[in-house]
Amino acid sequence: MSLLKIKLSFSGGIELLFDNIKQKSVEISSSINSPNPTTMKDLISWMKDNLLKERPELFVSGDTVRPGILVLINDSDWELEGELEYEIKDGDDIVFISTLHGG
Amino acid sequence: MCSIQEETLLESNVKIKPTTKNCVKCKTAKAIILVRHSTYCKKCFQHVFVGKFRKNVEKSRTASNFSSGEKVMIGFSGGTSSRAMLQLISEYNEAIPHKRVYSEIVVCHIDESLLLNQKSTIPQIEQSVRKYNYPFIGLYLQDIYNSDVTKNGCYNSVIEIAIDAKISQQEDSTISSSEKLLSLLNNISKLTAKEDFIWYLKLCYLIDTARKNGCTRLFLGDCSTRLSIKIISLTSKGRGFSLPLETSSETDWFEDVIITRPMKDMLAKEIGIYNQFIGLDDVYIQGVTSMMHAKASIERLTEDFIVGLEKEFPSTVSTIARTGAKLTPSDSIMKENRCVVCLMPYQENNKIWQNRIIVMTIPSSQKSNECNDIRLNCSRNIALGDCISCCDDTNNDESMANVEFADSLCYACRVNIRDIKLTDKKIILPPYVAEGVEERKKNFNRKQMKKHIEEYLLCSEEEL
Repeated sequence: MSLLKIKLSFSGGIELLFDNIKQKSVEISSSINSPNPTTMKDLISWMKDNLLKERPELFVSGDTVRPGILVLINDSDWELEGELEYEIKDGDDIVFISTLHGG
Repeated sequence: MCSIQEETLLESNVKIKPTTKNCVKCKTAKAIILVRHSTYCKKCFQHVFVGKFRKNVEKSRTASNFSSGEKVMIGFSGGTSSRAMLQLISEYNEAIPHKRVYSEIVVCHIDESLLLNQKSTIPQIEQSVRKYNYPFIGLYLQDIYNSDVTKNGCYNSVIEIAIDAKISQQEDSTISSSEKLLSLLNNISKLTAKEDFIWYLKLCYLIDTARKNGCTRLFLGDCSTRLSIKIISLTSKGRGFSLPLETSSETDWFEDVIITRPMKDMLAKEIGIYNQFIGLDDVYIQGVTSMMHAKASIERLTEDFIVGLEKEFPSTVSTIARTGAKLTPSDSIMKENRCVVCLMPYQENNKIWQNRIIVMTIPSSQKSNECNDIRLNCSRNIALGDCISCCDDTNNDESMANVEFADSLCYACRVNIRDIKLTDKKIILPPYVAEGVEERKKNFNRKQMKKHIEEYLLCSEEEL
């Protein structure tokens, strides 16, 4: 088991849920849900437990992010990267953008 | 023969499930964005995105009489959509430097930080607008109570919402505009009405500012996601009559200031990704329903509903927006039937049918209902004096009394005003509202007078 270094960015108001921090580098286990490799699904639940400061219902909905929140993995739409199934690699750059009016 | 067929079958199988999807436009580069059902590469996405914007702006240009040199204003909240709009308008206008489409571009931002007791958003906004070198106007929402935010330019009287019908002769100048705004908004019991009020105050302030600055066009950054939310929420709030004006890509309802929505064909997703790609820094502005649960207001609930549907059915937004775009304003819309609060058209005699279809008080309870007792007073001062006296000359006091404030409201604004709780604190509406009522009174009186003297009027030559 090794650690993955990834960069998380938040914008469009979603940063308010994460202590008003726009960018954060984190280290997570390469297999949170061992023996399977860490996927986006694992990352989202990890973020919910470790980074989210308030109101989880404004970030997650079920085991994915709330509708209206865009996710880009290395500048690419996560809907083309397999969404929750995407396996996170070392050095990934993941951006969360809220397009919702109410934040 | 057989073997050839098998080969083609194999090939098509591979094509159906490619390991990496390619861009639908250039067909060569790897796709990185999924917009509804189409995949795009970065370059093609930006091309299509900018193209949609240009198409809309060109359309509005050919429709207007201005060939060039129009002075325009950008309504800039600082959010994702207006941020992208500022960039796109600037690119569009600077494309051919010697032949600019707009002679001057003014960026206007309205600060509503007072409502959430936060620090002003103006410095931050100004910072992100600075590099465009456009004149920047930063306004505070509370300043809508200033006497110069009226057509007249120095109109001082205000309408007070109170229980007793006493007319307070003097305008209390000891109350600051911030207090006035807060006492109005904090006493609105429902967030739906509050949001509605804030939006129309902002819109009226923007229109007024555009007019005073000689701008003939106001750009608003409503994207298609936002517009489809608006179409549904306006319908639920009872604003169906003015809906075609409030969601159309272009409207001349405000006569000298045309409202254009050049972002109407872009999804919120596209805008968010575009901003990310070209590195635009948006400023997040908190609203009254930010960080609240989905049922906080009709607007919020509609947003939740539509955005949620869009995730499963990616054509939801475009279907609503396109259907909404087919709506045309009713033939019965009249310029003089303008709601004094939201400035949108209202249906003639809407008060009568409202009373007919709505139960406002429980018949069994004889206890006086607060809503019924609301009297709307017009406290006026010297500035108003002359027009009042000229009305008095015609001895039309009775008819003047007939034109009430409540008659000059649209259905939705009347519903909103009913949500205002009455306290010992003074609750007053901004001067532009009082000016609107006054204007209506004058028009009404003129009509009455004309009726009175009709028989004495000399016939025009044609009739003779």
